[in-house]
Amino acid sequence: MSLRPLLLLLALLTASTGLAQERPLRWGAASDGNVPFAFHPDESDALTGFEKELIDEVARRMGRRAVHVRNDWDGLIPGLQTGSYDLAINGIEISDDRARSVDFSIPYFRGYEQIVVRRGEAGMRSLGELAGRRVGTLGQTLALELLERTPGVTAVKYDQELQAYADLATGRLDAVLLDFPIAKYYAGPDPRLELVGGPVGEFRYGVALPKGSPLKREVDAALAGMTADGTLRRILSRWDLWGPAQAALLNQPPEPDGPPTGYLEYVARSRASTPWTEKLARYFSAESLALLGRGALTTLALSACAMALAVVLGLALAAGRAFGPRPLGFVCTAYVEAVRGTPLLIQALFLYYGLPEIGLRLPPFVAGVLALGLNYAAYESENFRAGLRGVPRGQEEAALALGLSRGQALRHVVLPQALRVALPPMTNDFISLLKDSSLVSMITLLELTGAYQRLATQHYDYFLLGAVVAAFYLLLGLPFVRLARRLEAKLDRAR
Amino acid sequence: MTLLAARDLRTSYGGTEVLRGVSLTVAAGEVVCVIGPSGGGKSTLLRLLSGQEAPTSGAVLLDGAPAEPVRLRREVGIVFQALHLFPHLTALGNVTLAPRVLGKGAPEALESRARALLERVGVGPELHGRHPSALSGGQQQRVAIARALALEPRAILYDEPTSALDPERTADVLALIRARADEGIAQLVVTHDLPFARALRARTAHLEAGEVAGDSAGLLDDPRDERTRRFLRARLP
Repeated sequence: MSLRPLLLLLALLTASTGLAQERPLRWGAASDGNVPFAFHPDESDALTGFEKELIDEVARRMGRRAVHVRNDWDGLIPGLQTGSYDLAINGIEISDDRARSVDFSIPYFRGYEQIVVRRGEAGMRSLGELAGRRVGTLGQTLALELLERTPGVTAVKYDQELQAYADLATGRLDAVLLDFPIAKYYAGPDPRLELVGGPVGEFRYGVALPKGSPLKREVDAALAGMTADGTLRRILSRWDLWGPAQAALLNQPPEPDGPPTGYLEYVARSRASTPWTEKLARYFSAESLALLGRGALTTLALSACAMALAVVLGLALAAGRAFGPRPLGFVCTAYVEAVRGTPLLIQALFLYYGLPEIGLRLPPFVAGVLALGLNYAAYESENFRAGLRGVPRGQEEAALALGLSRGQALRHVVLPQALRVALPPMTNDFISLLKDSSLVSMITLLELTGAYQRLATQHYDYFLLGAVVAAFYLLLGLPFVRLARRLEAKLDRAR
Repeated sequence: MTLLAARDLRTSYGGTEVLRGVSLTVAAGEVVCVIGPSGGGKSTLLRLLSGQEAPTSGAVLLDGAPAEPVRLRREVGIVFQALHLFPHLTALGNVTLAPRVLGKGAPEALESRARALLERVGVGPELHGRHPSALSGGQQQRVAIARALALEPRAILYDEPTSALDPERTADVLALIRARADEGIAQLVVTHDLPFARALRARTAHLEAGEVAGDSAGLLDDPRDERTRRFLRARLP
């Protein structure tokens, strides 16, 4: 009995040394939605999907441990260049355009674009027949390229495949053109939708690596080995993606190897239509709440750090404008105007994806804090300035007449009064910042909005989950709303 | 013996001479009243005597020796027309601020001294914890006087001390000023409230167009200078 803790310790030690030897292979993929590539089948952090199984096997053959790094689809290639992960695997089509900025492994999948319409709608069986129609697709895809090249087609770009098919089902779109695996998984099981027509175009998926990455040879070798020994065929068969096209690409027998269990499990899960009470119960399950709670915590930590930065920098800016020499005042004013005059989203993307161009790589959390903090500093400096202006000149005069120095007068008489004026709007700004922090889900941070997107694409429900997440934001902001009220009331009394 | 004196003070703003050679003395325990029309230079004189500003030429003397503005700011107290009490501090906080910031003693000692000062000018202990916004006009003025006394100045200047008060409160101000005179403090009161000036029964100087037009104990009853006579005629029925 007394041996058990010792054994446990020993096990822990060997486990940790094992981990230390196994270097991570960080792979980037958008895990919101993203069926059947790499997706969350439930509320836990566990991933599944054919690319997830593929990259796990590649990593194993490379003697590494695969570690998933979440990113938005649009940010996958930029994230590769900023070094957020070693490689990206996410149904990325090998194209000349992309090959200019990244290296590709040998292809592991060959496919075509698939037209999907509402069940029973006719006359949209080919690319040419889509003329005059609104057709949804994802950005940076062969499908979008094909649609834009076809005269008369109105291409509508989406961030999430789920949203495109939802808009098709509700009649906002006439058709959706997307990679066959996506159509098979999202539209196939949906009784309102129908896959029509033959193959459109042709693409190959490859693993994207940074230009000149030394890992390319290892990845290629692993993929070639998996093809030769039938591992890749087994994986693709499990997800019901094996057919003549793959057989031809990989030089393997055309019939599947093994039952399509991955596909069947997925369909069984998505077929189960759940009443809303049950859905809600699922959203309040321990796993969902843990995910939302972690998101909320990130949101709060991010907002608090950003606000601290904004207050300190805002005070410096206001002081520079009020008391500094003219050139400094000019620089501070220029900063405030430039920051207030440009969108926060642009600033965040610039900090995270733009700065690495000049050799400055920021972790997502730091980039998020900087983006929000630098942005809000401009607003806080205006609050401080209004506060400073709100203190009558007589106050400083009275302090000076009492023998205080200018610095002492500022510190003990002017600033405390300026702060009292600035505090209530600052509290309000913090509440705005809390909400604006949702923008940084764009730079790979899984905060509250990121958690919402992940759960929503997993449960195919933006409606109820939206209400749940909105409640989370309200709960986060409520203490600060009350604080602002109390401060304002206190200030009114002191007047 | 003269404690505070102005010697041939001249000052000009952008070419306009506001004071054109003003000389004036205040002895310890003495009250001197300064009357005159707006724009006559009264406020500028106060700014120079309290060290908020330096004259273009001439000097302010303390005990007969020229004193720099820095020294004047510590040794001459001033009660502003608008009081300028610190709204973010209590009555007590207003009085202790300067001694505390300037390191004039231990916090407890400063507080008990400030409480004694407040009571000396008639602000009871129940008011010490109130913010200025919760005090009446008369109470605010007493706090302002206590604040001016906090650094133990040897002279106090008042700028229009009755302007913000009900007429019936004027007697209180009078009593407060008399009490300070008994303590040996030199006091100079700028006012254009003539009934109040008369009630002060002090030596009175008439400042007009930047010059002292008259300076005597009986100035209000027996004006010698034509300019003073004209000024008084225009103001008294």
